[in-house]
Amino acid sequence: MKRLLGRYGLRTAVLGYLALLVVVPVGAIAYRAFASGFVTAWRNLANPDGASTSGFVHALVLTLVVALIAVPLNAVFGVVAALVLARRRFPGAALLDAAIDLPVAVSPVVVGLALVLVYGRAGWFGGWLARQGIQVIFSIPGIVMASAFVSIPYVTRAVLPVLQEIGTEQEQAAATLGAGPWQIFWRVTLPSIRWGLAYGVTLTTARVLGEYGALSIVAGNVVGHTQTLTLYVGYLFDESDTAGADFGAFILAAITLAVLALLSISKAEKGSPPWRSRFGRSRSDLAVSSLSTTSP
Amino acid sequence: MRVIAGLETPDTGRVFIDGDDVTGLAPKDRGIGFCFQHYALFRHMTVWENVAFGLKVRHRPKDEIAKKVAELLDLVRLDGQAARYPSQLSGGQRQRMALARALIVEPRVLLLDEPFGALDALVSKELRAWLRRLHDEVHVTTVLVTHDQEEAMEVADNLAVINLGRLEQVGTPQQLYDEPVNDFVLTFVGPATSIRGEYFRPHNVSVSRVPAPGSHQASVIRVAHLGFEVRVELRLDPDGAGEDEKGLFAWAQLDRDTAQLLALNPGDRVHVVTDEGSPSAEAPARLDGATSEA
Repeated sequence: MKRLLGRYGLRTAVLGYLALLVVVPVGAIAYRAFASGFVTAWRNLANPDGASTSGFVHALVLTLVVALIAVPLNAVFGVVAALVLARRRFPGAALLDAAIDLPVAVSPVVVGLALVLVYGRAGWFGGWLARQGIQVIFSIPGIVMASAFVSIPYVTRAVLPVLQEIGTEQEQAAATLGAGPWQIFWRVTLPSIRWGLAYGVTLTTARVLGEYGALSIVAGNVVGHTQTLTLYVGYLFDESDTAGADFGAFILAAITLAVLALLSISKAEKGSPPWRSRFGRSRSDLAVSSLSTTSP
Repeated sequence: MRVIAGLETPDTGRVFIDGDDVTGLAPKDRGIGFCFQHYALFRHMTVWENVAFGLKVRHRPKDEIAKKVAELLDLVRLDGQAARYPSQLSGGQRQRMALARALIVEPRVLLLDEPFGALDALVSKELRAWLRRLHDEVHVTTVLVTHDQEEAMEVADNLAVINLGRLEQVGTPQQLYDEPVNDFVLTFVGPATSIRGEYFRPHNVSVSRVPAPGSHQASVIRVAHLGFEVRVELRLDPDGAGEDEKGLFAWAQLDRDTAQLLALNPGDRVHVVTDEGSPSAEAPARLDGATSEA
């Protein structure tokens, strides 16, 4: 009886915590966004009295473009970094390992300021870049850089434990069977880490979509030009346009949730990874699933 | 083994396969098949895909791949398991699949790293006999590393005993058993017992109730009946040369009829004789802790 109570008590505590912090506020946003009806909400944005519609659509497009550039960049970098850390021994490996976590360790505001320091007009490279006609800060390159910067660790952290777990034997077996380095990567390594990679990409995407602090510094916050969705929502909130802010926030949350849902679906469908059969789960799968239990 | 496969670079020496110097070649260009100790199967591929891998990376035509995979799966008796994943196979099936995967590229040399190490004793014995028959069927030079002497004796035509990185002796199982070059080989490739500092095969030690020329007096400690074989544990009387207590213990292997005739009981006084011409050598100071490969 006591044990039963303990078990359900724990569950209640976990679910209650999640409800208070996540489910209720996000639900409230959704409710507020539709409180006056979806059509009204959309019309508010589509037929505004000011410039806010074009602002919203532009922000949405800009956010997606930034994600489409930053996420693949970090996916490739993350896999390469994980491979280097898992497979090679070299002086400075520990340093690289720590440096990869740096972007989430420091506040995004610091990231933004650091980028301005280096790439701003008065920055180390900024002046030279400006003379070449490239503007980084207060422009799309800066937004992409800041987004990529803050989301660097996720792919590496999701893939590295899987790589360490599977070891190098399968790759060596492939080599003895006649496969070259690229064939080994595409046919053996990548399929082995695909779930870790999918999870890392999902987290990266969520982070890129949601970044605010660093962008608020490097983007310049020009409506209809360098405003991403998060910045746009913040801007509407500051302008006391709570209806618009709620709707924008809802769209933002919906996109992120859709990305997370996509992962779960692909994992469940073509997924049911073969090794998660009724014959028991392998440890590499456990590594992935233990990570996914920490998903937001 | 890993040096032969090209997975590691030798500090000294060169690797020849069929007379070709392959020391500088990548594993994929050596024409080898390697079965890893823990099989290293591709977990995300089915049995069929695993076996087909070696041909797929060589971009062979689809129908050729299908034909050869079917052939190999039939050979290793996995034709019914083609659509399964490695995690759904038993240990013995995984081992056979690893063999099929290595054999499909028609290697010049097949390398087996402790192929039965991860299997339970019964499956291991069965697979051993099967592997030997398979070897006679497919005719591919096979190098097998094992720490199990019995396995080596049973499967191999030629044995090489390696002790602490040094090659001790190369020969047929019979040569190694009957004409060991040193004590290490003698004690390693078969049972051995020491009598007065010399090693003998226990079946070359006989026990008698009456003294004979060159016999040693001893007491029976224990008689163990192991079916046809009867094991007699003995303690030799000290000969006054200051042997240590441990060196006095020996054992003899008798057949059942002889043992029945002698009707030995613990505590009986007997005379121990060693056969002429049996392999023997000076007992080395220390044998335990030696790692060996055959």
